[in-house]
Amino acid sequence: MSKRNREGTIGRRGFLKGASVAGAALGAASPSAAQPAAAPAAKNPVPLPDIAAETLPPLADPVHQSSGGGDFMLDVLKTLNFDYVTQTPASTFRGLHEAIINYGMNKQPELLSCTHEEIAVAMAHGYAKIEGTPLPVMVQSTVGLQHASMALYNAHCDQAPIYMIAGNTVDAAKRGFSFEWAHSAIDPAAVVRDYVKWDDQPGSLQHFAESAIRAYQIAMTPPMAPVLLSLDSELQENPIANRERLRIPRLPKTAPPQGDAAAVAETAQQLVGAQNPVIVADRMARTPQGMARLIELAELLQCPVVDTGGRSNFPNRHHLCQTGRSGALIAQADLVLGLELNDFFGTLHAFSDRIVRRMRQVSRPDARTISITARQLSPRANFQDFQRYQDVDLVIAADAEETLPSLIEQVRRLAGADRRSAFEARGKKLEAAYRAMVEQWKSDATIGWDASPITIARLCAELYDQIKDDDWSMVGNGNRVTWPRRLWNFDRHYRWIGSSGGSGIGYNAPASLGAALANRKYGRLSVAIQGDGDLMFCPGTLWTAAHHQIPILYVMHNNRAWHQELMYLQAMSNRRDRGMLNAHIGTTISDPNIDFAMLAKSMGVHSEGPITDPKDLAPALRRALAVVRKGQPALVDAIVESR
Amino acid sequence: MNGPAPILAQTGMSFAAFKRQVRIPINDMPAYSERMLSDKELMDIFVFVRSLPGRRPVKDFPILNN
Repeated sequence: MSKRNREGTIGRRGFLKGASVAGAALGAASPSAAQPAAAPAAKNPVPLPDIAAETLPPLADPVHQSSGGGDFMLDVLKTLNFDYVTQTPASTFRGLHEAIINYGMNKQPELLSCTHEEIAVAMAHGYAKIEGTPLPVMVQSTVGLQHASMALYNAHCDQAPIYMIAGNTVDAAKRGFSFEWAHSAIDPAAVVRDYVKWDDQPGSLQHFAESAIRAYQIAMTPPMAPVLLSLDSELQENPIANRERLRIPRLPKTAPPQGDAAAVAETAQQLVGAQNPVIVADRMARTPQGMARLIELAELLQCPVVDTGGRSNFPNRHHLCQTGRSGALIAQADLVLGLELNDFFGTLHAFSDRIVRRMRQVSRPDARTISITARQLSPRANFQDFQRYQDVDLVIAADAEETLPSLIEQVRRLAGADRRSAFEARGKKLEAAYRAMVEQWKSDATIGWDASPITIARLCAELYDQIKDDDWSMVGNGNRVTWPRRLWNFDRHYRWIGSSGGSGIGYNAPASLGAALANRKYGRLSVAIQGDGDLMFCPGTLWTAAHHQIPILYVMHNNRAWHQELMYLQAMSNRRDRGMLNAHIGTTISDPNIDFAMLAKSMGVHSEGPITDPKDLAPALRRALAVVRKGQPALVDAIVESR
Repeated sequence: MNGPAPILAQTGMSFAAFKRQVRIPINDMPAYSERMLSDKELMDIFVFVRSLPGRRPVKDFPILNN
């Protein structure tokens, strides 16, 4: 029995009794109403059923409607070409939910079920980084939005568009008792407004139509970010009075902001004149064009590129990809160009996490610095993800990918024969250094090859050996291990999508799944290296993968710990000269060890493991990949070295 | 703390250099005092890491040349 019935507030019998009273008051006439009421049983303590009341017709309210606000809302959302909508079901958006599955026939968008709102948002986050467009995410106004908030923060930090829809019941006089009050707010977006670019709570369907288009436009204009619409439940559920007068605005074509022409010309001049320039790219390549443009610029200048991995900015097997030599290159650079570089200060400084925290400049004091970033255009104050201030010489507030064509054109115009000759000589030196670096990496990978726990290098080598001939996409790397970028060939923008942004645990598993969803229609093979700590934040992700048949291979980097925190505890214990024997307390995930293969199997996901002997890894990966290639998810639990 | 750790297998460091790094480390490695880790224990660890198999020829691992 529900709480509402136990409290006798609105039980069926009570409702019908109420209906009978109301019916009488309304003078409703019916054959049953004419029946005599049952005589009271004075000596019987148990009241007899009120047959007359039970058989009375319901209130004279309408019980069916031929239109609903949710239908119109769906008409609007369809103009935005969403393929999917993620959600955990909730009463405050039931009007829109029903419209999607019945009026819209559950197609474009198709509804996806998630066991937690954090999963729903993170899936949209990963999807956006492959597809380049947002997904709507429907959540309950208060409780659902608070569940979703961490994932939204990640998306904000990572400059990913998310189209949030929160149901709400605005009119207090119409809220049901109990939970509908707890699930209503006068300003639901307040809890996430620090990391949502724009939000609105439309007061009418026309208002909704305009705000829906506006929200999409704002989310998709660099710097991309989450937006939120709070939708009144009455507006979703009630009949539409004036459908013929409602207008759906057109979505405009939006051009991302480009750099100022004079500033771009100055940048080109600096790049051409520099002896040792370095380009540092972070969340630059939004689209395939981003990588292609950066290759063109780097090759023109024969300039080294440091790819921080915020996106797949530059192919790692290009000789100008010098990420592994970033320390030496920054130290000798006379010009550092940051492209959507979030932490310019951290790029030019070293930090020591010791008793006295020290920052030390590692770049030349006379090095020129230029930053091209759209992040300047949408600052936030409270959360400090914007990093320490760096006194850069020239800041161009614009989208870096969009600015590259004009920069390339200017560089091409300015680079005379003498400079081209110097560029060529520089390129040859960089190529030699690159070749040596790659050989060193391969040699490093052989160390501990047969060890158990399995080395990360071996795990990555074995995995790549089996996917290298597929059109693969590495959609997650929970512990940000560096071996894939040393051993694999990241030659397409979708080979890697970047990390969480806010370093909020619980991102990797669902965001990887969202990216895999986007990859599905292109026939790509999605793989994710998955931390055990991260998966335990949102294990229900595996159920969504199985339920919606999203092909993805999760390979567990199972170190049975929140190992970053374990290392912090070790450092803290030794700093206090107490030894590190107790550092595992509160930082490990053992006793009992989690059987991730069994966890996955329980949710319908093919699984292998736990695998401790490296010789068993390749066969397990082969079996799991066969399942993924057939369109299903799979998980291989490997017990791997800590870091 | 996410960067790759130095390779210790078959290390070419002298014991003196090894000990110096453990007692007064550079970068962010935690420092081990003699109270927590005696010189004798440190020597045992040093002998152990030097005994670990080190690099092997890359040509013996075709999957590293993909």
